[in-house]
Amino acid sequence: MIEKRDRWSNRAAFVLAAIGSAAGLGNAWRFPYMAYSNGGGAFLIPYFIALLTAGIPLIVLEFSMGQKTQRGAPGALGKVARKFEGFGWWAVISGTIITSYYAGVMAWAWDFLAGSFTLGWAEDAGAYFYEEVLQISSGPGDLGGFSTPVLIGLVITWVVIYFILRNGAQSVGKVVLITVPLPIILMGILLIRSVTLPGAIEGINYFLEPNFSMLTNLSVWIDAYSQVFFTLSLGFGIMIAYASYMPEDSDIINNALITVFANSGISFMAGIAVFGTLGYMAQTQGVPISEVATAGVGLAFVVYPNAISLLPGGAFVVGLFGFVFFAMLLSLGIDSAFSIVEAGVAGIKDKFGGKKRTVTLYYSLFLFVVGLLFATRAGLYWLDIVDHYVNTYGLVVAGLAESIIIGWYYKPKELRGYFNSVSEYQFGSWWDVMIKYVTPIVLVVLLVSELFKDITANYGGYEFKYLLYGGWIGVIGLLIVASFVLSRQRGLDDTDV
Amino acid sequence: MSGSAVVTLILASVILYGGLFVTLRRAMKSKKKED
Repeated sequence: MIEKRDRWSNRAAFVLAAIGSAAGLGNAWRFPYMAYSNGGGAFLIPYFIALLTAGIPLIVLEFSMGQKTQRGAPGALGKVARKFEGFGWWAVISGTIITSYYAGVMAWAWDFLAGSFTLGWAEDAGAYFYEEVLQISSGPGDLGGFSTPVLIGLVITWVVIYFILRNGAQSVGKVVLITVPLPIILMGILLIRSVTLPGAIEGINYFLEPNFSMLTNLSVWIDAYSQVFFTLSLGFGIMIAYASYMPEDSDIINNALITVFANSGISFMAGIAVFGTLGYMAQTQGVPISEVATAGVGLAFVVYPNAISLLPGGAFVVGLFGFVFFAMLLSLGIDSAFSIVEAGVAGIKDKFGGKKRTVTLYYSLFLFVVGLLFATRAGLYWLDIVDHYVNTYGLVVAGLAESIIIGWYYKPKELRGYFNSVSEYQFGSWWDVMIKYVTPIVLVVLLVSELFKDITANYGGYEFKYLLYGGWIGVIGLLIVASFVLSRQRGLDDTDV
Repeated sequence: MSGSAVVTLILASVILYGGLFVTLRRAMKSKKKED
């Protein structure tokens, strides 16, 4: 028996889910540092240009493909032509790999959230992170067994994801009513606290003050395009899957614009909150901002908790703001994580059928088992390696495939005809130009620049054999083989449009 | 905060939050029409 296709209960549920997917950990820990290190306020120029020329065109493309074909990524691309189905699997498998370690990061956030009650991280967040939570080993070759705190956090994360997803869009639509506004409220609390601290304004100034001379560096533009591409959850098949649960006559352009503005608005707010706090930390410690400004895991689990531990008001205040910060990270991350899982569930169900709950359960179990690598004492090293390769060779390639397939095979004017016919706002032929030329060129530049770096130097200084297992074979090899194998299987729809 | 940082703050806020407001308002108006 084939279940009826999942449906959002209303438009707001879909838009909130899309915003929840897009707005994740990277909004808080990647964007602020990207802006600071690429010319401050001046970075907003290439960022907005990247939004207009690549981000918005691609998100509209993904929404349209999903909504028009009523399929997840493999099915949607497969409906254009059977031979393209493999690229849809490429996107879904990239997402599969990413969720397996993204859940690991959520596990760390649970551990730190728990640590907010005991102030375990307050004395030295770095030591707490590396020694107590990760129990980090000497290198990728030294797995060293599991870290129990991470394992527990991983189990909690997967149980939560399964229970959110098991009833499909109906339960997701209710959950995002909490997981989207909550981090914004928590971020607002952190922002208000941070701007009232001494040194905060100086910190925010570093984030906002424009240095226009940086705009002559190609790397700033590459960073802007890469930030826009990754922040909008493009190339995972998520937006295709989510849009496939909307009726075919739903507005596309306005939904896409709301998602983009909300996502960027959250990033900008995060930048002020983060740099306000870093400014306070720099002043308190008597060091320049460059010594505390950082991104990623180091910002979230070392620098920012260290900054919170310096807040005036005693242990209760430190614990409270720690709780607020890690609850914000968890609520930012959870709806991104389950959206990637849902993209996989949609792809599998479209191809092979099965009940939603069953597919979700087995897929979640599978991802949990794969993610056990990242719960070992060498987990952080493998996460770093795998993340590097899957972002570039997974997501960027998937995004490139989508834009070339629609731009050169399907013809963008046809898809534009469809999304304009259902949308209140209208896009002109500039969209065709972006999809056909600008987006592919930008993504090729991103891909080639990373490939050049990877060929000429060992990423992260790791020994080549770990990059081979975790990257060239483990990610790229897996993507090629699995996408090919899955696309060759006979599925429920096997006809070209 | 420097003058240019203040200008950046204002411009970015107008574009991002203004854009969000306009698009949300349009969506709400459509919802009213459908109802």
